Amino acid sequence: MNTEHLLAAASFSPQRLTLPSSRVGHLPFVVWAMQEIAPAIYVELGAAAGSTYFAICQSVVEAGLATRCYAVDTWQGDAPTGECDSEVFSLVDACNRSHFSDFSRLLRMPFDQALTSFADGSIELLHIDGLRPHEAVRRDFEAWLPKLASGAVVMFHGTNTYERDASVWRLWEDLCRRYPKNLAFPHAGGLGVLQIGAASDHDGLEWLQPHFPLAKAIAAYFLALGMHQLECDSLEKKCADLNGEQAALRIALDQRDARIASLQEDIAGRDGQVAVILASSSWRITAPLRKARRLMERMAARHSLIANLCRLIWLQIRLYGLRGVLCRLPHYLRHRQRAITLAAAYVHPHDGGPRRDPSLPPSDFRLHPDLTPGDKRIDESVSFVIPTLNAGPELPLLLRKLTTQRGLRSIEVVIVDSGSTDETVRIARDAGCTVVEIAPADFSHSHARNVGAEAASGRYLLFMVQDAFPIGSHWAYGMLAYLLEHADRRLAAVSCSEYSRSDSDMMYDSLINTHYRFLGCLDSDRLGEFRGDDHMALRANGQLSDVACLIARDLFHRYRYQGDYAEDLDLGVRLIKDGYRVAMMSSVKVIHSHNRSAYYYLKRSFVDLVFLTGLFADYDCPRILSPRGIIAGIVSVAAHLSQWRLAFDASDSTESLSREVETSVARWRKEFRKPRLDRQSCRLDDGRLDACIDSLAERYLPASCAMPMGAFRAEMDDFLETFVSRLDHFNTFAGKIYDRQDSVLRQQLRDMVLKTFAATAGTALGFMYIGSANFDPEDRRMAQTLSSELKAGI
Amino acid sequence: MRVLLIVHRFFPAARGCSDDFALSLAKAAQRAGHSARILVCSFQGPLPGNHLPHELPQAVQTVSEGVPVILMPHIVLAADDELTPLEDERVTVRLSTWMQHQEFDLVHFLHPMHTVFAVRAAQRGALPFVVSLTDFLPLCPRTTMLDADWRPCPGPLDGDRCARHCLRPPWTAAGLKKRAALAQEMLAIARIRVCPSPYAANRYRKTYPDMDFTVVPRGLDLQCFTPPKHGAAAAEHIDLTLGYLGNAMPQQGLTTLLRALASLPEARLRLVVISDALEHEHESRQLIAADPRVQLITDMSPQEVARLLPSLDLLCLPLEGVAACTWVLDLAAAAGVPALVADLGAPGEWMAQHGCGLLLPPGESDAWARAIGEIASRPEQINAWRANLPLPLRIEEETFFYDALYRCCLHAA
Repeated sequence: MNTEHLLAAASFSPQRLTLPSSRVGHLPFVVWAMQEIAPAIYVELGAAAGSTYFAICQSVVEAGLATRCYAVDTWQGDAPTGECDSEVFSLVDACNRSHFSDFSRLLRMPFDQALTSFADGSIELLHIDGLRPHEAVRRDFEAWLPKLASGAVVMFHGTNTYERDASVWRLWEDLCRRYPKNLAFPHAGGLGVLQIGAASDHDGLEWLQPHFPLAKAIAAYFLALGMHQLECDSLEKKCADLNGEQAALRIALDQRDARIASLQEDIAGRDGQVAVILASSSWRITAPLRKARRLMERMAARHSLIANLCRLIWLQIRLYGLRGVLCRLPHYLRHRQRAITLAAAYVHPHDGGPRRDPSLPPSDFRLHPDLTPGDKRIDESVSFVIPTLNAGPELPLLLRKLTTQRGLRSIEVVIVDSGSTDETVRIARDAGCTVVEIAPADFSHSHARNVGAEAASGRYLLFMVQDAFPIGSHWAYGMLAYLLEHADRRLAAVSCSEYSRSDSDMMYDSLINTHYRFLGCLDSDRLGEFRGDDHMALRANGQLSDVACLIARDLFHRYRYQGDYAEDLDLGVRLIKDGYRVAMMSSVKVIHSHNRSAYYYLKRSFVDLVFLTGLFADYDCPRILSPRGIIAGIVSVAAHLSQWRLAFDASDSTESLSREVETSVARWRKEFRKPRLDRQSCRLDDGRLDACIDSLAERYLPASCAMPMGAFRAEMDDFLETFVSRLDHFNTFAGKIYDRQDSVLRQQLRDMVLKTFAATAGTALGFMYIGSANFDPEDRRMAQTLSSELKAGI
Repeated sequence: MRVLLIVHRFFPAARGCSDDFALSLAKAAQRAGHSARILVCSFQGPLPGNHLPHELPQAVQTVSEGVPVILMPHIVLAADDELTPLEDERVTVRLSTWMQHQEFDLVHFLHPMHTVFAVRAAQRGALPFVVSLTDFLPLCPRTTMLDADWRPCPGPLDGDRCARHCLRPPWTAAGLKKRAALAQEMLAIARIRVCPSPYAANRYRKTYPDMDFTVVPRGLDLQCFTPPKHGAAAAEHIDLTLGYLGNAMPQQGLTTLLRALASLPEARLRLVVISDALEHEHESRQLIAADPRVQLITDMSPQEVARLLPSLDLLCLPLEGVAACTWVLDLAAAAGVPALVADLGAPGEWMAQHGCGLLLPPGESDAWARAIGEIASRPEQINAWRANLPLPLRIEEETFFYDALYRCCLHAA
């Protein structure tokens, strides 16, 4: 092993890249290997754009090798990477003729046809493009084996690529067993290198020997060089793009300058006309009228801040009533600065959701395709991809619904099962689904869906969940039709909203209503696009939903799902940041809802908040003055609610639901301020929630806090206010819907209150955890412990 | 959105499709964030326990599963006809005033029976409305689309055909023509007209070619059904278990089925009749009493019906009137039970489309007997029919479609 060659590899810079390629990540190694091996004949099967081939040729020139190089390819555009078409051959040919024709030949023919050009045992270094099905690569390897010299080295590109049409990794695993002298790199799609011959042969290529002591160091060295090369390549591409943009901007600027000049000429002309008017006698006569108008405008501008403040106050009165506003006065005073900032900026009140881009058409009303006349057909194939785990008795219904979807050329259902112990796998197979089984330990929402996508054959992928149920027999058609209709607007992915099951609870219904109102898809389909990096804009515009998400397969493979949580939001945000649009549809929906326990809401709210603040750096978090005060607030409100629950369950009032909430909230704002910090007092009828709150009190409440004061008290009050404000918000939803209570409604209301409390507690603990870096060590440990406990199982 | 749903009957006085339908729609509307009220415009029977007085004349209000319900008492009509407007306009005016105070955005008539005055009230307030046509009442005073001699009727022809072929007291020729005109007027001013089957929509379109009719089939709560894995459990000494689900009115054809069974005295069959008490059907009661193979079950809740259906091999629908709806067949399909169906109306068309049973001539007990006898001797064909059973609509799908139609109604407004 020549250490000079090793060092020289670090400074290798490819001079003849015709087109960008992922293979550049392996160029430093390939060039070094070339110098180490110094073959008489080098053959590359599948040279494509020549990124590897010309780097080899360059190293032949720079190192003064006597190698003859041959590139074999049809250059007909059949490569899975899509790098290659016949125009590429022109570039490659031109480059070869200009620089390497003395020792390099391009053989434009199929691989097996090129065999006759070489004698047996003549090739000492062979490079095979592995980005093809492994059967094809295996055939090529076996066919070219006789042409290899004893001790020849073979390289396979793509050994770490796991795609439907690129599976050489399977062959590589076999070959590693046959040829123990091998080495592999995981980056840039993977590169596998092996030497033909027995392990005992020694020929200067000791770095290929099994158990070579420096193997890991060499692998790490070339990995680092390869990544550096990729980065350089990427930066060069970005520079080229920026240069292109700059050139375009220059042109635009020149055009704009010309326009400005033209406008200035117009202005000069108009100025002349104005001068004539100003010099006229009628202008002089009407001067007093104009003075009076200016005076009135100045007065109006001065009062705009006051007007906006009045507008905000009026909004609050409409939401909470006069009494509610007076009760919230301490809260407003605490946040007065924010209110003044809002008023000064004039925030136009709207009910949430993305603002309308005037260039987009107004949200058009659209009926579900099942309700519209006419034949419906799209000549496309769709693969439904569904991760499953013990899908239960609804799975057969879902599969029947999917396989009878109409209006598409073909349908496939891909199930990715992660260890079901019920009949899920059998039912799916009996229904004719493609079933992929993964180990439970390997499951994540991203990985399962990515695996399903790889197994799918449809041109479009529609990700779903096992407990959703499409509405109508043209549901998938409706989503695909929308995607295709807006393709010219760069619509990349479409999700549809959920329609609650007939047994959904009030909490879920109100959450879903708020969520879709925020996304702007409560009443109509909406397109989202990048409007800014702030988290509100990204969430409102980039949200996709795993419950139903349709995307073209090719596009999906460029992005894929990532991460362990909210992978659908992450995908949507990445798409819009790259200039695509995503849609949330309301005209087609899936039936899906969950009735969760209060304990679940405690944990889920915590996890959601922590995730969101991690994803979005600008997420506004309040400063926590007293973490123990938050705990005390939770424990105290829980104690009050426990008492309330008992009384509520025993009564059968038929008052209107809205009035019940309103009077309760008004009463609680006063009564719940009284601290109740006794241990073991939580009786919210959810065993796990009760145990959790009691445990918080036991572990973290100060031994004596009979008279909470200062920051401790302020946090308690803030928690209470946040909780009742959420109930106020719920009442703006429920007040429009429900009237007098009966036993059914009372049960729903009671559960709603307890779940809202749990969700508020989860969020408060989440903020506490996020701000824990500023706490003292004991409080920090408390926050960490709570985080572990609340994240478990979500 | 504020929606008023109007039906002609409700619990606890009666239990049927319309009231279940109204409650499902109302609750679905609430889940979607809308305000929904149910107005029962011809309530009969004992009042529910938790009622309170209401501002409408003689009406009371109550809450049913969280949905506000207003019960207006059944008012005796001028003629024995369900499509005649009230003589007293004051009720209509009061109702219209109330509708406007409540700021409803639209009205949905779940059945046109006894609702003319309410239609007038909606019209006075310029409220758009949707009408569900679950049978052929607007087209046919007998609702069967069969004339008085039980011959198929192509349509009312502005009431002239009704006057020619169905003139029986208390109807008069002028009354029947007025009725037809009223039905046409009511349907013409409806913003959206909904039929439960393509068959029904086509029948209405033939009579009213200038009007649009949208099809929304009835939805079911599929979770209630657990089809047996390998068909009904075989009972000792029984080759075939048949079922009948429906009331005992003549056009339902129960008598035809019972006569068919009576002509197969040696067949090892069982027939489960899920119906009402048959108080007014003398022949049916006699036939059931005479045949120990027939079991009559009354007062079954929908959940109980869902549990019982999978135990049947075949459901029988021997209709002799033209039905607009395939709800009973959808129930059977959800339970995994094929059917024998009279080749008439929407059920006949449904069976012809899906091929999950047999089509038989209506009213011919001999043909039914022959078919039942053959199936009993070769029950394996039931499995082939079972494989063709379609997946019915879910209740949530139905309510979603109505929600979409409500929005369409308002969008058009």
